[in-house]
Amino acid sequence: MASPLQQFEIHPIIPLNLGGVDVSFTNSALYMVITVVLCAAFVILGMRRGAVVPGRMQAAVEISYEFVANLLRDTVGNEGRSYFPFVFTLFMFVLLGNLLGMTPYSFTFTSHIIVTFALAAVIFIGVTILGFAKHGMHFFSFFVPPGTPLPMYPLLIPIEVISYLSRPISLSVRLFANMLAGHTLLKVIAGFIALLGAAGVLPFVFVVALTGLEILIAFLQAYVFAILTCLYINDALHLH
Amino acid sequence: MPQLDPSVFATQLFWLALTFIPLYIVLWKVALPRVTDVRAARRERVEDDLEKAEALRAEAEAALAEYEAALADATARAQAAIRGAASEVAEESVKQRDALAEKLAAEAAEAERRIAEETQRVIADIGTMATDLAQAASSRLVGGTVSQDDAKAAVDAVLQGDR
Repeated sequence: MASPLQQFEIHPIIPLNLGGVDVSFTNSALYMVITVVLCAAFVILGMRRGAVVPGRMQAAVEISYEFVANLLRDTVGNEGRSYFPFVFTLFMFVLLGNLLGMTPYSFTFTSHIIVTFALAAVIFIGVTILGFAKHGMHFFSFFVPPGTPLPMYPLLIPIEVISYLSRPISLSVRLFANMLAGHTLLKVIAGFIALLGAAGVLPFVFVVALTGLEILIAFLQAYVFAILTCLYINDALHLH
Repeated sequence: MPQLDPSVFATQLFWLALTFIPLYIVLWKVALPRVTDVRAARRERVEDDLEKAEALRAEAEAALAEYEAALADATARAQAAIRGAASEVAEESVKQRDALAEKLAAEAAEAERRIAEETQRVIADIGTMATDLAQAASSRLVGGTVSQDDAKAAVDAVLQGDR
């Protein structure tokens, strides 16, 4: 029986080498391309008619638009409007990546720590630059919670700095670990179906239920990723 | 675990950048402005329709007020006409009644005058008739003749006594 981790293996489809670095077009890259094409097609084709009374596709596009717009407005407020395209792209990219990973025989690029970490690092660096651009050196006051008595400073400032620096790690590991655990669990339990013969009905039912749960988690993790991005943007804009 | 193999990091990062950045640019510059435009157009359309409906409602209310004013005016004029006609009729009937009363009074006076005349005439006649009767009766009863003047004097004396 194949290892439950086999599904995460990366195979080159078109070998590519750029200045001595291996940048082959792999199954991971293929699913990123599919995600991007689907996402762009979803929004562009859905809005093709731009009807006042939307059809099904247009309504779906507008619901996702409104969902992310409300998310941003609720956490950041109206100043967050200029970051909407980024948060929307991020949400749709992670959501479609997660959902595409639920199709059998597919590859889930969000289950790779390097991918989620790269996204989280971009968010972290971007938000930090945003904070300094907006507040200058005053941004450092973010590490001192308001109302802290002076003797507590040596204790609280390191805690705040560490919690700030661990943001990209927690953000990326949360998504990566959820995807990894879910897909591994599905594979392990699916393996029992063949092993148990007639009694394999039980793990089969379990796998069906678990697939539903995984689809929920796919959505939930994309939501969490987007809402944390919004919160970080809010912190950078408003400090506390 | 394949995730921890550093040999695939470069290709993943490369393709992540090569897919995510174009998607961001396409959504930012092309796709999302279209959604924003459509939603703004819809909001405008809805507001426009609401305004139009509001204008139509005001118009309808004005028409209703006009109609009510016209109705009130017509009612007032009709009532005035009815009152005018009623008073005219009443006046006419009073006039007629007065005329009739006058006429009846005149007739009654005429009748009374005639009755009085007749009475006078009858009273005048009674003397002559009584004289004649007395003359005739006395000639039959007593024999002989009684002069007319005597008879008349006697009758007059009786009549005077009666009065």
